[in-house]
Amino acid sequence: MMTSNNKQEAPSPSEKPFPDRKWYAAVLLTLGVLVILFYYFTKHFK
Amino acid sequence: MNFSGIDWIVLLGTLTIIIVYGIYKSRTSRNLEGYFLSDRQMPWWLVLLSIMGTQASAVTFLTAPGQAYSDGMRFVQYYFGLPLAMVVLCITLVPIFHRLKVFTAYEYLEQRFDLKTRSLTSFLFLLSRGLSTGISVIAPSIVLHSMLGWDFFLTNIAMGGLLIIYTTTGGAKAVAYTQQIQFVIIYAAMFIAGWYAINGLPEGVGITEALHIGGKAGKMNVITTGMTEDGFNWKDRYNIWSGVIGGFFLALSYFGTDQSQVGRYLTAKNEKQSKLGLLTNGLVKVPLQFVILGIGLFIFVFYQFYTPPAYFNLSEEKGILESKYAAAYKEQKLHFDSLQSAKKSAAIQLAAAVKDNEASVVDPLRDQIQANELQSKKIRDSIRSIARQYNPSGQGNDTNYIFLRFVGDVLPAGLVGLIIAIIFLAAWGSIAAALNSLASCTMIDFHKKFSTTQMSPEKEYRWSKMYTILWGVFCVVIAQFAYNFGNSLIEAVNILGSWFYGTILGIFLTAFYLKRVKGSAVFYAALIAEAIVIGIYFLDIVSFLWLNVVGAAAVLLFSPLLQLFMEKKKP
Repeated sequence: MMTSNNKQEAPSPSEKPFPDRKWYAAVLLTLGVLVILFYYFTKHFK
Repeated sequence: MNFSGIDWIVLLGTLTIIIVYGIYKSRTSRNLEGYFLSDRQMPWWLVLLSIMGTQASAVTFLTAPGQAYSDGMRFVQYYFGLPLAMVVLCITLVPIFHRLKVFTAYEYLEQRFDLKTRSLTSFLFLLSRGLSTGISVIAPSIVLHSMLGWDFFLTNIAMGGLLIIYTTTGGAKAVAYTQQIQFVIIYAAMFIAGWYAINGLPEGVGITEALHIGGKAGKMNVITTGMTEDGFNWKDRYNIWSGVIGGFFLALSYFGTDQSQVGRYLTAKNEKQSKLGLLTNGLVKVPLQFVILGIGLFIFVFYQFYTPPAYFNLSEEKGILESKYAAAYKEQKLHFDSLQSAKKSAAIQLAAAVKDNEASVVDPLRDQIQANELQSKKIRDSIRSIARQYNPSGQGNDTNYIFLRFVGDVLPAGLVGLIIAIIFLAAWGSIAAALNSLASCTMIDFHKKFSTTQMSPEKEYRWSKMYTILWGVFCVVIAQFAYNFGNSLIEAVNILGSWFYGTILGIFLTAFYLKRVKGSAVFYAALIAEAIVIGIYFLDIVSFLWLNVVGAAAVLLFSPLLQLFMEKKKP
């Protein structure tokens, strides 16, 4: 159940902090590249 | 469709491995955290496979190649909003869920708003997910009944019953571990089927030539804009705009507010592992779906060289041939078969022209291939209308049968059994997660919340198992009763989901972005939004993907207005 203690669990010392922005950029960039590639496929094989 | 002894061995062997492995891996703490969240110990890659296994049902693997065969590759656009949604979720809801250490997504709503908003949202989830899970059971049974002549009710019971055993025994952990093997088997089998389609092409026709043949026939329509001469077509289901915008809201709602998904990434060791699972899903989902659709494209090209069935639903075709519609069907089939030599000749010439880079020959061949395809489509439409007259509930829609018919006609013994096994596995992957989430919401959001007696962790664990069994039985019963409705019911329940998803998402977005809005305002705004969504659906103004946007927007619009009104009313 929801606990009364709402503190975030501290990451263990061996675990590096999550590089959020790099991942977000990678996901969005991949989508962008895929859409361009698909657009090329659509035109090229038409 | 021939199902040999080797196929039976492969099918039963695969299913046994999954069940035994599920039970073997199912040891968890005998409490709610162990049963519903695998003690929050899962690594990101298991979370990823679990998320993907939950999303992809049996229908996904049956329909996608058929969809590409008949409508082209544009269905992939449906997934364009998903990566965007993964990013937004990782920024917004995932950190909150982890910080609050919730079991269900709806617990957060009680903390942010009030109990009635939490209960309403959880109830909407149970209603839509409970019904749609029943349909997840029925869909593969209908197909197997039709293609292999298996008894529909027994298939349902086998499909649901075996699954209930390991889902109940092992809870979320068994769900995740079995989804891991299911994923490997499913994708391996799909790739093998794709390889057979490519390998069956005549000499001189490779992948590039096949893509050109499919492309000239209009099947490489990967990106479409939905624009017509009269402007944007709001009823067009799959184009880049409905995919990016409608698909974004759908994915945001599904992954952020549907407990069958939230329950998967809450099993992660920590917030980082949840995010890694979700973001990797955002990276791989679109290309994987493209490949699965590509199998349908290659099957289409394969059938340019070999005569395809005029109607892919085997048992319905047999039924038509024994009915008063037999003469009409045979006449149309004769027309259809007579097109084959023209199709083959055009495809061979095009492949040679592409290979020799003869651009001047390509244009007339494109016209010819398109004319053949148009003619073929017209005849198939006539055949479908005959099928509709023969069996009105089937709607003459044979898209779900295209892939399986290809498998039965082309793949050797043993592999047919493997493909039938993946139908079971894909169904189990999504149904198991759904049962686990239905049980968790019933236990956490209702039983534990409203029960006046204090329960020991052991007793809570036993109740949770009981709810898993009850929901499993409910889904099998729904499936048994729903048979008479046929394919129309499957579509109806997909639409039913989009009635609720937008509203549920709107409640969560309000919770996150509109800090001033309180419980009562969002509760009544959700009821108004629901009425608007259902009203718009019945007025048939937009395609169902847009209902997700409408529902969310209506809650976001009405909740602050109601809040203002309520504040003014107060003395």
